[in-house]
Amino acid sequence: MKQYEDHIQMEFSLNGERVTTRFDVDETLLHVVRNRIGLKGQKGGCLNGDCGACTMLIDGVPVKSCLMLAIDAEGKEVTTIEGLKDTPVQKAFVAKQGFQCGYCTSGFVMNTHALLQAHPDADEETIQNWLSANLCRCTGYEGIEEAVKMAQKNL
Amino acid sequence: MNKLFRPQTYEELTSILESQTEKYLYYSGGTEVMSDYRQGKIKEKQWIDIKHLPGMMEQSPETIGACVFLNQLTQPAMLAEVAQGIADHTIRNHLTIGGNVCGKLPFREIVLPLLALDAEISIFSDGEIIRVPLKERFDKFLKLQPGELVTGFHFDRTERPYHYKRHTITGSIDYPLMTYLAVRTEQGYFVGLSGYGSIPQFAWFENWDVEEILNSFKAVSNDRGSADYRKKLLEIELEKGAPNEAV
Amino acid sequence: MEVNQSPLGRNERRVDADVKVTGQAVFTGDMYVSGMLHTAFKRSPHAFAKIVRIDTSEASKLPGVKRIVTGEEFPTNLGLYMGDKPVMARGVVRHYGEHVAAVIADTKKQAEAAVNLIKVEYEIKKPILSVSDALQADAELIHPDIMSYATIPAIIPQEGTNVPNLTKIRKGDIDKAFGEAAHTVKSSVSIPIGDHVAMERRAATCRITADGDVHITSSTQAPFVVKSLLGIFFNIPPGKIIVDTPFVGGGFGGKAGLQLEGLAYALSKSVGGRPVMVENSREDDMVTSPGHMGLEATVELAADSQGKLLGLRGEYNYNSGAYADYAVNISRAGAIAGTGPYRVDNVHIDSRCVYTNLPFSTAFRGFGHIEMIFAVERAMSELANKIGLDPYEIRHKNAIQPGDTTPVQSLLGRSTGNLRGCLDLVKNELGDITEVEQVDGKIRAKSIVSFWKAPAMPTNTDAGAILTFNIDGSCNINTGIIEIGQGTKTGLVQLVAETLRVETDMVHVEIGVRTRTSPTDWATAASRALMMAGSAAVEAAQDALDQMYDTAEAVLKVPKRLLDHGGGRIFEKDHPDIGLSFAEIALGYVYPDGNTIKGQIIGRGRYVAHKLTGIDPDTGQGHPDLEWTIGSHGIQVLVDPNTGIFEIERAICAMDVGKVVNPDLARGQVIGSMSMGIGYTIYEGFKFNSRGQITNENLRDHKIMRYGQQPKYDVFFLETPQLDGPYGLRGLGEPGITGMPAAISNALSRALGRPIRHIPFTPEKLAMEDHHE
Repeated sequence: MKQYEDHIQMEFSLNGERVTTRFDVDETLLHVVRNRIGLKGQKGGCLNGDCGACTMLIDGVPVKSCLMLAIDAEGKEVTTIEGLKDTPVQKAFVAKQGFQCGYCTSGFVMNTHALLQAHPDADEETIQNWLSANLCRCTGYEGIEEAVKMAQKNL
Repeated sequence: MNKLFRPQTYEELTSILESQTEKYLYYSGGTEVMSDYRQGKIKEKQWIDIKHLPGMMEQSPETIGACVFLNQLTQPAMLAEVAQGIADHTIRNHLTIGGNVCGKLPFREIVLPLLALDAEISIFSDGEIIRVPLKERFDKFLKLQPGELVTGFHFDRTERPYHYKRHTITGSIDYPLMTYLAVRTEQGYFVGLSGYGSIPQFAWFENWDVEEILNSFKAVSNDRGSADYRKKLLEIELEKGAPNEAV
Repeated sequence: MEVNQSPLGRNERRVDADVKVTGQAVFTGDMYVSGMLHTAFKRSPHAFAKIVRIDTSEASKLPGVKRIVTGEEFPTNLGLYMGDKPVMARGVVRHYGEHVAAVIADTKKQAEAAVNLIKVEYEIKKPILSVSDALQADAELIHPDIMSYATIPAIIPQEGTNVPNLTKIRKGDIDKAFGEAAHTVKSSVSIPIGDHVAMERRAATCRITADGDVHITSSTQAPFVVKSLLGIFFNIPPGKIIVDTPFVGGGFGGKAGLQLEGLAYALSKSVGGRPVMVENSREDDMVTSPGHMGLEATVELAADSQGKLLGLRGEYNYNSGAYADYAVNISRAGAIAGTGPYRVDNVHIDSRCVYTNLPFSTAFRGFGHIEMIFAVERAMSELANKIGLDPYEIRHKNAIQPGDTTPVQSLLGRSTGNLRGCLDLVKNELGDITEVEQVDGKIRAKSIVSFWKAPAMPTNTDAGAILTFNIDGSCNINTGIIEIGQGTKTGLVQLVAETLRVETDMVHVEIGVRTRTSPTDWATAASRALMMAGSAAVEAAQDALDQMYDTAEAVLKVPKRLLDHGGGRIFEKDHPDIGLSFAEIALGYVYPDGNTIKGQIIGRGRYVAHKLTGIDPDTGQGHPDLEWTIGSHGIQVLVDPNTGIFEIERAICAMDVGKVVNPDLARGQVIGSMSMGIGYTIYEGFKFNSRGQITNENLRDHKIMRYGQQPKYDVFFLETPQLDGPYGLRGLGEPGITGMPAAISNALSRALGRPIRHIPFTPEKLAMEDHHE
């Protein structure tokens, strides 16, 4: 039987690279990726699952990494913003002013990326269903809305 | 928390439970537990991760495992629709059906369609898995003995006519001011409410008598809204008529 | 694809775009210094209580705990305009969530565990939870020592009351105006206190090195305020304080002033200068750190038979919560602008900042104007209804013009924005404002309002810019402006490129600010960054050009007046092919034989506000208002009168911004303002129980707008030049929020046929007439 106690070790895949890391068993995935591994792209806006700035993909599925034990990622493929380069979503967020302060951006980009991987032709209802999981305080969402549409065209 | 067990079989779970001397907590998707844990509201030092037990992720015509995520619920439509009203899309990728039924939050909206569907639940109890009608165990919350664990849900996937409305103060991502589910059943109508009172409320009715239904439920006044307003919202839904048309 | 060759008015790509969409933008909470200690805080569960004793004995035994400190260790009071706030509570807690003790430990987890073991004994008092209660003659004094606090002269505390500042505006003869009026109305509104909800939680680190340098890194909008106030309150020579600010994840006023930096300094000092990180939880960020003010206000208007305004009587009671911070100046700013953008010859305003036992307040986007405009514009709509005037007409008729005077009797000049033009643009979009449409049991209705906003800042508000050059002739802009998302760094590049006549890729800009090397800058607040630091940057570019002309004159042997510049070169007007590239002169001109002259170019630019004064304590007369950004909002709503559920279908803003530097960024600021205004009006605000405990101190229960709730936005700009702004521009970051509550209120009021006056406008308030109005 598996049991984990105190300071533990875990192996998983992070942005396509195999990673072994040590952490306390009660640490969240967000905490481990940010503070144990040092990838700080994903942010903890609320640490309560409400804002989505911490959104990571586990096997391609977006999750709130602040509401999940890191050990739940054992053996899985975790993707953070550091794992995305020059994607249509990132380009569209730049072109359409999908951000201002940039704090929520990593979460929005991850969620949008996962959305368009799963539903390249997502209609407005689907886009709203997915993206209403993230908060942005700066843009009023117009730029993000346009960025999603542009990214869809350029997939 | 400093110890996490991850049993792969019910025998392992039994031996963990037998060896337990202190209080423990069942952990699954984490969405409710981790928020409470961060705020210091969870004292249990030992957690048992139940996701890896057999059948917990099962999605078969007969069974939905307790650790199936809300976004994975597709049939029947009323179950999927109620599930899609809970939390937000990303959270529903790790918020489980069992967690919503057993959690501490007072809403437990997924219970409404399960009750309407006459669901049975499987419970790991005293070393074995027993199967009982949900409504026998659900009164305000799910009645479980210490150590008991919900492992799955069984219900008929046949579509039935239903009406569903979820009222919040601000928009879709919010706890309900009133979640309303009315379902046509063989005997008459099921009406279930969440957020309307301090606990989920539900009842079966032979006839669609708005006055009778309205008076069967007790509305609460709280931060989200007054009892009078809730009553008004319920009346508006009830006045739309009985759920007789297939969806 | 760009047809516009000038960098001004062009949709230049944001300089921070690439790092922000790749997660590489670094914020304060991302920065770790080895050996850094972490902190957690014991918060008061009570809104008003005497601290009897604090027992830290169990907590201090936990592993990893370095120090536990309480407020008594720090006798200093902090504050911005009024020193009324202890570093942590001393003897009394005045609001729910106030810090009473701090734990410094090796890890955050250890610090949090220790906090749970701190025991505090309180003697609970009855909290004062509304402005009206606080203003009762027999109300308990939340700050009995109000007269002993250090204040700036502009602040006038009222002895024996809960009022740390009262601003009086007296213009004309108000009694005569009301006596002669054909029509009068009286209208009261209210707004709860609430939070900015910047997505980045506030954070500050401090370490004190062996040389006595105090190194602060902070998510602040005002590193120079931090430097100056830390120096004053802790008696540190200002040159020994180094404040670093990287990217800031939204501010909206909430990160102006002094925030966690004083605490970080005090805590670092208590552990011998070791690096200490203070990072708010979301809950702390909402209730322990300051939010935005509330308001209870009454406006009376007097008009002649044609609807021309004769007088305004205003009672603006701003709810500051437990401490004054920026609030004492916000209530003052609301008074200075207190008529809205209308010509009113007779004005009588009392504007109070009022203490209550709610979480305290600081600057918030709009700085008192959003509240005041709600009160004025609600009254304007009620006046229009009473007279039977179109809501557009009454505003157009009374719109303020050059040559009119403001409530503080300062004369508006040629730079005054064109309100009538803005009203026309909004009306043009919405058509007949009075039209009410029935749609499947729902009601569609519209509104139009006016707004204005002036910065409320010290009379000597300043900015600076330094321009250095690289060997390829490109330059680097160094200012004290913080990038909080507003895009000022990109705007600065465009202004400098325009002045130097180079492409924007030849202009680099420093994102971070370090107070020891960046030129002094008052604060990134009051929508002033691009106007003031922009002025300084343009001056720095001109200064650099002067120097380059000097070099070119010497090398080309042609007098300066016969030289011109463009395309990264200085050349002879008469023979444009003869010239020198910036690359050849930027770091000194090197002759073929190796001789070098002049050395590197360093451009220097300064800005300081001109001719500003304070206001007279009895009449308000003065000139505190540097520039006014004026505009109009329009809203269209669709309401279900049965459920009260409504949708804001359209939000329109027309604003006179002087000059649009970057249309996309400008539009983004205005849309962001409008969306925040919608949230402020219909979702947000703190809820509390009878004990004054905030019950929605997180983003699950305190909602802000989410994706999918946005209306269709329309934004229009007019360009009446601001003669003292760089290339004619004026501030635009805040005004777009200021008219939103009024516009939403007026549209909903029209739809439902009754005044909607109390924010937030929840569906229940709209559906249940008897309940809330």
